[in-house]
Amino acid sequence: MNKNIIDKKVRAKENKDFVDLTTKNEDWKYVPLQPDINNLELGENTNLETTDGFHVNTNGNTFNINQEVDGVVLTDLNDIATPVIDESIKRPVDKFLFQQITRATGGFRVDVNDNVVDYFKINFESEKNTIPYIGINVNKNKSAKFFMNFSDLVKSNIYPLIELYLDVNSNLELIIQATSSHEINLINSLYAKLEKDSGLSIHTVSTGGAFSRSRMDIDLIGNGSNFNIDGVYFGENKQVHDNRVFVNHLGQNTTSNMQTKGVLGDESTSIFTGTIHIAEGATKTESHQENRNILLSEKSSAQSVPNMEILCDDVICGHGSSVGPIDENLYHYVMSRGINKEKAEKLLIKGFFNEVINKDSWDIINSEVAAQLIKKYDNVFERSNNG
Amino acid sequence: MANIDIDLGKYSLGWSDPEKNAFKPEKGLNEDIIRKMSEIKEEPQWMLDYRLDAYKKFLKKPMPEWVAKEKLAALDFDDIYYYVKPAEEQTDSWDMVPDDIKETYEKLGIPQAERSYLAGVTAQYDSEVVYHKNREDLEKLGVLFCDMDTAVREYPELVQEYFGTVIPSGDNKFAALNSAVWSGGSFIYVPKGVHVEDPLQAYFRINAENMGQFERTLILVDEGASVHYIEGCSAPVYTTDALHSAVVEIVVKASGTCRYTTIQNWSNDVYNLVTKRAQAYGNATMEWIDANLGSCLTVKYPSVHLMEPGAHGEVLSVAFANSGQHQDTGAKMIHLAPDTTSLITSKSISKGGGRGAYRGLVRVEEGAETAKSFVRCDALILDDNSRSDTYPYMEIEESTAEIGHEATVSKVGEDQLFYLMSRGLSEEEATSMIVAGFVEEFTKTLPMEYAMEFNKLIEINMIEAGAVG
Repeated sequence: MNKNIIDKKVRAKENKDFVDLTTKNEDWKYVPLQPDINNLELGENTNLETTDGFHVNTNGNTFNINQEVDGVVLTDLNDIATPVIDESIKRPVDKFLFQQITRATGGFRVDVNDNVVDYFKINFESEKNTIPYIGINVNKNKSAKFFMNFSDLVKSNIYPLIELYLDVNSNLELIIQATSSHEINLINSLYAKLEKDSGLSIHTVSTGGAFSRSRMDIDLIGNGSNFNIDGVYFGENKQVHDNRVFVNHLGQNTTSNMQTKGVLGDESTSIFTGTIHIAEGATKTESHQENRNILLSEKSSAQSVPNMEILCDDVICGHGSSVGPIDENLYHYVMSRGINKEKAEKLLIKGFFNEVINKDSWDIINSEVAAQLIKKYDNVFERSNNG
Repeated sequence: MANIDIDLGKYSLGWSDPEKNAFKPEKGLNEDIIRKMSEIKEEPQWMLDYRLDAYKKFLKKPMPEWVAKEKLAALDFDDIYYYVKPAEEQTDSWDMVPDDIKETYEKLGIPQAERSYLAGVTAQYDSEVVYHKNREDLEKLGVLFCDMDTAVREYPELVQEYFGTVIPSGDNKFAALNSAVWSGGSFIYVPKGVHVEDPLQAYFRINAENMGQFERTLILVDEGASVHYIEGCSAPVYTTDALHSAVVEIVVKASGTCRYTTIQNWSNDVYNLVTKRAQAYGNATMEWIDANLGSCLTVKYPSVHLMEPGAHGEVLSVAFANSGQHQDTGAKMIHLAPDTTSLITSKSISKGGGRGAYRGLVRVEEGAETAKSFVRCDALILDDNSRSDTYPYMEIEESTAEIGHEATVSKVGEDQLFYLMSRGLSEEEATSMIVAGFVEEFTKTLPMEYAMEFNKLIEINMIEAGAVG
């Protein structure tokens, strides 16, 4: 990243100006710090001058950055002249983010100048620990679809920094799928800034990695802008899925919807922290938030913290969250139709996820995700029977 | 009809009587003050040691950073009297209570007639109890109900066994402060199988400028016993900040029931930083019913540790944050045993720039099988300057536990207002009525005269800061 941009983002601070992050820090409260987040160990030669250790492919073909595709202009990280976003309105820069900004190992900025109808797929590949940067700028009245895929090709710890800017009346649909079967840490920071009447939809699938954390800070600045996120996660072994979504309603008539559902097996843990912040004067805001967790195994656990900060009276706002085993009544309903307990459980878990993944916007990945989730379930089931 | 001239600009229960204090140490806190205080109270050595140890912990503990940082920073520990002894000695006859103190209670609405209705009145005036009388039949049942200082003297074994076991002195900075300088508060012991039919009651007031009040309450409900304790607060208006930092510890043994009701209406310059915690054993029930109307900052999360199978915890909390107020209230339920259940209902109202917050924790430890908990938070925001926050933490380590949380935030519905106003009510009256309806779940748990007083307080709060916008 260009030195001027970095300076602006980190506000002329240096590494020594930041205190170390611990579990006493509210943002990192439930993070066992498996990765040493205070001093990220990156692959060799990882500085701003090289993209070593980080590859980006689109649609399966190695993509030559700077190459032009219809309606989309890509700029290499080192050549970016203006930042996609200066800074998030609510989130201060902490030690982790500081490292992501100053030590990004490669990446690019995408400018969407024309409508992109098909998903623009970015397959991440990595051999060495890396901080990829992806900035997406959707211009006025344009719409685009992006698919960020952290598959088995990601073999090292990866700390993506993602920035999204949606200009007036633009639209962005974004799938973030993390399915890497390697024992890696995946920690991302995502910012989005939404101008008037723009819309952002994010769909997340999180089944991979050993430790997976996603933090999203969404600023709904423009009147009438709207944000949706729906996601599924499934934990097995000692996986940790940590999802944080901070939605900051600043404009009027803005809406946001969050719905995340997860199943935790073995000794896995999930964390959900969602904060709806409605600023003073952000009238006619409508915001909903839902987080549901099923605990399958004795040693699995879930932390759910759906927060609200409301500084305005003319709003409709609500949230709900739950943690527990599958409802006994549901078992009864299914089993009374002659289905045994094992099959019933599987069926009910399918149904639990279907509420999210059967939506139209999930069409492109629906069957793949459904298979993934069932595979995870089978793994957990097998282990619990053998153990 | 005669015109009644009521000055609504003044805090309705805010007056102060001339101070009459026999002993008044200097502002600020040091070991000497603690030693002197303990000496005057003729306390045993263990209590002095406990105080001094707690004082060290208080000095070490940092200020909490996660709540009302700016308001807490304005709190000057050196500008507070830590112990003020009233001139009047403790009395067991209403006639011996000095007139000015009686007047105080008259204004608070505890007329003499109420004595016969209530099981016992322990009225805390300044730091020590000035009036105390138990109804005779309570004594016959073996129920002990007295102020904490008396309990330390008269029931040392019982007190020493439980004091500081539910809330250790190093629990948090304010619990440490209370442990070091506590004075007054209630002690209740209900023996096995005894049901106290009428609520026990105590009123607390702060009556010296810049005087902190650190009452300490310990309630022990033995197996199969039950009790309902009501604590009401009302303080005179002062210009400088006062600190109220209480510690309330409750132990409910197997199959016991305890309900602790608080109506907190400190004047708007009081810091109310309180630690309240209960332990509920097998099949016991603990209910915290908590209303916060006053103070400039209240930080209070009544909690229940569900220690043994079948224990049940409940918190019903109502907070009204008016102009200049920050009500940071909530509840904590810690499930430590199988088949434990809990219910949290929180209602908050923010108005005139006030800030109401629900901050809560439901924690289910591994092994607390089939624990169930439900948390419901509703918030009303009455104007655009006010703020409502919800921070519900849920930490679940047990797969068979069922935990749910629902919350809504809304304003007073225009259709509701329209409905009431079309029947001839003014907008203020209509809004008051809707707010009273919103908190009805709370009011209906109160004895009648409390419910009436509470509704009156809500009405005063609604009207005091002018029209609802």
